[in-house]
Amino acid sequence: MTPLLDIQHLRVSLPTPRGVVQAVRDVSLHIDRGEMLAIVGESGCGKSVTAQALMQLLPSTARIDCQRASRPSMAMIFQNPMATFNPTLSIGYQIAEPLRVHRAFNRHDAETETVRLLSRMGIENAQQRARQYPHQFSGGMLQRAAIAMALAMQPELLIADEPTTALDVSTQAEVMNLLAELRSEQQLALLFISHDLGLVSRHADRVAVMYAGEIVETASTHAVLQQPLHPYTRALIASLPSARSTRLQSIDGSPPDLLHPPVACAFCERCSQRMQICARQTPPLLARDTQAARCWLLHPLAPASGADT
Amino acid sequence: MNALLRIENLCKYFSQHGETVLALDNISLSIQPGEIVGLAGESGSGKSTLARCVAGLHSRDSGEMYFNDALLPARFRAQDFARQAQNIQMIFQDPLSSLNPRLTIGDILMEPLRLSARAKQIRLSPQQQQSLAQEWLIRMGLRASDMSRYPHSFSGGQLQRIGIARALINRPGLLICDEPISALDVSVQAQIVNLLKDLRDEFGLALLFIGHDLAMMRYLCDRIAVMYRGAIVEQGATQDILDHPQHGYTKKLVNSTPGIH
Repeated sequence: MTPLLDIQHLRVSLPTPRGVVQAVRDVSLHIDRGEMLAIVGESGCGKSVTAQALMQLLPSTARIDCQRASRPSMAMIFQNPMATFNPTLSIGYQIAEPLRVHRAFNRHDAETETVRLLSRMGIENAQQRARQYPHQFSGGMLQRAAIAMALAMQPELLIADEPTTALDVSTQAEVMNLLAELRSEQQLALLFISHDLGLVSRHADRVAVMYAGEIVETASTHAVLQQPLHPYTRALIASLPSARSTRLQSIDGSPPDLLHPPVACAFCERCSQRMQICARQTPPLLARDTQAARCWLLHPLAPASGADT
Repeated sequence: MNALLRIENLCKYFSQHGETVLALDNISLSIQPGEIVGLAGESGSGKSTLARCVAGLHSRDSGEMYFNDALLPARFRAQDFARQAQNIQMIFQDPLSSLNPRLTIGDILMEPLRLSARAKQIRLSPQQQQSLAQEWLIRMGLRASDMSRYPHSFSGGQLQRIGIARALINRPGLLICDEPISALDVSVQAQIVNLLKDLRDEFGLALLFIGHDLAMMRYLCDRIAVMYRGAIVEQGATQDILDHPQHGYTKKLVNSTPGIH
């Protein structure tokens, strides 16, 4: 089966006043129909830029290279649902607009479909609600309305960029459950961008961990969380509190400056298992069973615990 | 042992468009010296309003608040703030907007020293101020040379540590933390939380920690109070609250937090 989304060797550079930032450096992704892939990583690691490149939302000055790209129909929802909507137009008008413009619905059909979409997203009194303005909605309801607007064009893939970061925990669970329902009901594929590993562990099928513009590890969610291969993934998991933790582990140092990306392993300076080769040569994505990580430790000749220096 | 902070039957009303809203409904809560108390609840439940009442940034409408058994005034005047600043300090969610962008880090850290010296009518030479500020900066993991830099050139985690240094430089007994890690990355969150724990152990500092990440609160807090619609619906030892929640809202909150078990 060919995957729904297939991107090979995506590179994005963005010109800034300080120079050219190589925000995404060789990212390959694939997502099947109905599948949920999570991209996790810290701010500035390139996860949002990857999504924006897929959606073609980057400024025209951005340089995007990609060796192969098969793209399905896509829609996107964002972190701040308040900024998604125009505050001067009713919610219903904004959801109906793409229906009228792109799907040639007449005013009456567009209204019926809007109300259907809103009530499918769990918004009560959808008919009255459609006439209200964004400021009359709570954050969670607004994010549901944003999902309704995204689904109006019947996309095969929905990109969700930190869709619940601005919401309360209990509202967050409701929005995540809604997305899970839509996946199983409509075979909707999801690209879920987050830094919340807890949320990812509960919902995603597969995880790609990004660091400094590269995917450093990718595998099934269970494998990544239970037996992480890359030292960065291990450090990220160790920084989360658990019932057993006596002291949280933090990662010393800071990520490299992508104006001048490192020539070798990007994590090498912060890595406790660093070997001589790590500072000299970029590791390829090395596989172990169904898991793969960009780390020299997985090389058959590497000592088991690294740190040969 | 006497409580460091004791809040008894505190109520606070706001009026909005001619309607009166009960923002804090009969709150009673106390914090012992060196204790970390978590305040959980959804946005709009009154967590920040309570924090601002404790800090004296909001007046209260009824009830009493005691710090070291001394009654705090219902409405703060200038001299009350000067006294309160020695005892209670606060850090905020967005560390960049809580630091003056036009002051250097050195000035930001020395300002509370100067104000406190004036309130206590003692003299603190510029050299003494400088060395105290530097000492705190280094204790927070920054460099002495950072004294002359401006806030915009630091990362979020560094700014939060500068905010903590500013808050603690006069050695208050209580630090109110209003979602201090929500805007930070997970690995940086761990740094800040470890730092807060160390400061508690070193100085016997008490913390009122507002958050919505129950997993982090389990790790950090000795006790947790859960707020819902302006009232504390449940409070107790962290483990009891998270393992055996009694109130319906607490149950919902615990169940919707992934991976805290």
